[in-house]
Amino acid sequence: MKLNELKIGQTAVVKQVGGEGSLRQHFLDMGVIPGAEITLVKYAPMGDPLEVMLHGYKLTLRISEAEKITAELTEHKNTGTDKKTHRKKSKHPGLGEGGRFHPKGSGNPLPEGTKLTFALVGNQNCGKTTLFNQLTGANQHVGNFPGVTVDRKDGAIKGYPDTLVTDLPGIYSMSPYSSEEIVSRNFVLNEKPRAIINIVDATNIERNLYLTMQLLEMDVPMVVALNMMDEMTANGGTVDINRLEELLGVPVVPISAAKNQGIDELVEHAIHVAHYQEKPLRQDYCGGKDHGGTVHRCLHAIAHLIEHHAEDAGLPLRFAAGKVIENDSLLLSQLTLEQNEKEMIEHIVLQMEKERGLDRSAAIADMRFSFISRVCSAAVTKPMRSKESIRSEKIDRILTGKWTAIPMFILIMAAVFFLTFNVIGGTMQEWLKAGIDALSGMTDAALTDANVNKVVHGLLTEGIFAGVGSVLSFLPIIVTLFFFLSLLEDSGYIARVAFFMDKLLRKIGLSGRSIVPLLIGFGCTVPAVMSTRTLPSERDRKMTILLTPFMSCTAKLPIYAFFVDAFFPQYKALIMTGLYTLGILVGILVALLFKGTLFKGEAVPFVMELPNYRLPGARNVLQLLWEKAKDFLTKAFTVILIATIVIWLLQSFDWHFNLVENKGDSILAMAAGLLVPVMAPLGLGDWRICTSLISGFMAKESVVSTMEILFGENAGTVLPVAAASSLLVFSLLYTPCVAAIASIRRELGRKWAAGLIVWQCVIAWTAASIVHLICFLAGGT
Amino acid sequence: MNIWDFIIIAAIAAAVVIAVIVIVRNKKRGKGCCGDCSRCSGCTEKTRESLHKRLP
Repeated sequence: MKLNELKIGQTAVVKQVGGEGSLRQHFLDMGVIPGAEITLVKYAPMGDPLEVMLHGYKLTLRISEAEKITAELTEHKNTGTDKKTHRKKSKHPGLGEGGRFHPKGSGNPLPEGTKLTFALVGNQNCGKTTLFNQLTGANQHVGNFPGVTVDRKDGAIKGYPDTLVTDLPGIYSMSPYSSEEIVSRNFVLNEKPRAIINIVDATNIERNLYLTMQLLEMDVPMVVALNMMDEMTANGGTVDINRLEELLGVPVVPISAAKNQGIDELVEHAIHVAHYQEKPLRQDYCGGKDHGGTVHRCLHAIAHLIEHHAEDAGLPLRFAAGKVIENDSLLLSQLTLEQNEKEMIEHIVLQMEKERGLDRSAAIADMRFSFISRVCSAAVTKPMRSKESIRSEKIDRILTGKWTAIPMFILIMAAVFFLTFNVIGGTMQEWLKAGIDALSGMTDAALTDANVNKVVHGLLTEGIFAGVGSVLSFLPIIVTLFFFLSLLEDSGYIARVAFFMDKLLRKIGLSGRSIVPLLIGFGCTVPAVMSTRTLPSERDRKMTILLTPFMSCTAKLPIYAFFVDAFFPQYKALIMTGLYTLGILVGILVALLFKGTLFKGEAVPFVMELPNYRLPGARNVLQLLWEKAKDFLTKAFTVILIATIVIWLLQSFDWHFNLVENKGDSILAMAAGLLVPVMAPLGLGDWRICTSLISGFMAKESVVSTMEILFGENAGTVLPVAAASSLLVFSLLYTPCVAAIASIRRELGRKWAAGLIVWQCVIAWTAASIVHLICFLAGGT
Repeated sequence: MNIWDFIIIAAIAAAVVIAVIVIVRNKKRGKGCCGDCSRCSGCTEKTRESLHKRLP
């Protein structure tokens, strides 16, 4: 039977893994190998994709992907738990502690002053960034969905200035599947760190050790940091650390990165192995008697054949041999094998496939998982089903339930917007605005009393106070929205949204994984564009990047709030939600257009791990809020301050630098007047509006500050309703700010970035003119 | 113009100079991601390499 023919709750043993290329390799790396037990947990609300449990963790895949896996029904229930076994106490091998490889105080250390570089490598969502923050004291953002880290980040270990730890994006194996996984593999292969800190999630040890096996083959000094040990022991599991250390041949240190437990011991071991260059004691774990030793003989034969090629290419031999068998094209190109050698290798591999009864990739994956299985049965007592897993299942009954998932999603997002714009953020904004107005009034009175020059007085009150002050008052709304987005992300809900939105997103040519960048886009386009690196296909990446600007970022909030307050105060939340919805709808239309033209073809497979729900850490959330508030304040007092001063000067003087009585004679009016005919059909044929929109290219918040300066106190009331509506729509859809464009240029290149500016402006103009026409016909003036 | 005019103008000029310094410094440090990680030195510490230069 095929995997998708299983009924909910049934368990089957995998017999064959079909498919081809990197997707198949990804299946195998994720533990979907012949012999693995898989239980069908549930289907997504729209019937596709499905969620399965294997090796004690949850994986999602589409029905079309499940069809490629042949399985046989079994009675055995895949609970992921072990019976308690009593084990003898193992002797501590003492690896990485001095004395194991050399007498204490001696050895062959690296010269004093050598920088000790470490690569922090592990599966996605196993706590690498949390550990990185603990090690370095940095404040990198951590989340609870796979793929938060998309680029490498460096920092020195606290108290050890001669060290450099690099936090790498999470990978499941050294056969990279997505572009950010290539960053990690290339770092370890090319930059040759002095040591590797391999972080392993103890609660999901089988799958995590798969990567450990491959890292051991790299022949680089290594320490295994066994993370989430607190969770493991709390649920009745144990790990015989000494035995595990002995079997793996590298130091193993139990830690809890989130609780800062075991970090000092980890640092000591890591620095020791790096300083003394203590390499793993074993790399050869292909059992000589496993299945007649077929894989063992094949690996060693190929290792002999390619020995000098691997040496010339600077590649670890054992790693290279494994990858040659797997037919890894990236590595094969580095080895520069001759035709004769290629043919010999092919013969050896074919013979192995014949004897083993599995194809090459499955045979290697099976060899690794067989070793892991032996290690786990010797050293690991799996926990009872964890509290976190049981809790997640209960929550998922509602949040990803067949009839409840979509309504709950709409309800949650509506609650987020309502609380942000009306209850929490809105109220705090009013308080802050009142404070700023009072301060502005006092300054105005003080300047009048001091008989300050009219120009200086105007610059300060009508320029700086009006411009910067108006932007500052939106700080509470932005911080509140980020607070809720951060809660959704850290709790693990966003990964679920990807799961149940996959089918819908496929209709517009994307995969469920694209929902993550798109939701981040509601916060800021820059990180959203960067987070598309988690998508394994270039087509999906490009398409998602081009759609991200349609998700209205928080920087546009001041514009909406400003006009909605002025024109539609009684429908505040409704209009705000409507604007966000309009952005999404236009995005969908554009996606459908792209799907049929620029990006024909199918979305990438949806093979993703579903993390357990976790309570968001207060420190993590507060840290994110502080970062966002600081960024916003910095922007207000730098870019926006300068922009307001420049705009005030340009609108106060003419070409001969005479102070103008009528602002229509100013430099700004003349320059911006060129755009007036273009914007006139939208009801925005006013040079002041054109100027405001141009300033929005630097930072979206500038639109409001510029309008405050140019229109004065009447800014919110001078426009007719139809023009205000079209301005709102134009602001929603026109070109993203310069930082977002820079980030798009980096990901897609200059041509795409330039094209996007024009494209967004055209769409914005079209949509705004339609809205203007509708409002006009409906009786708005 | 009186003394307050000079004081206010000097204060505004100082604020602009500080703002420019902060913008340039942040651009160099990459504080608050500018998105151009291949040129700037990264969001918090260093991200020296462009991802896509490393792609095969």
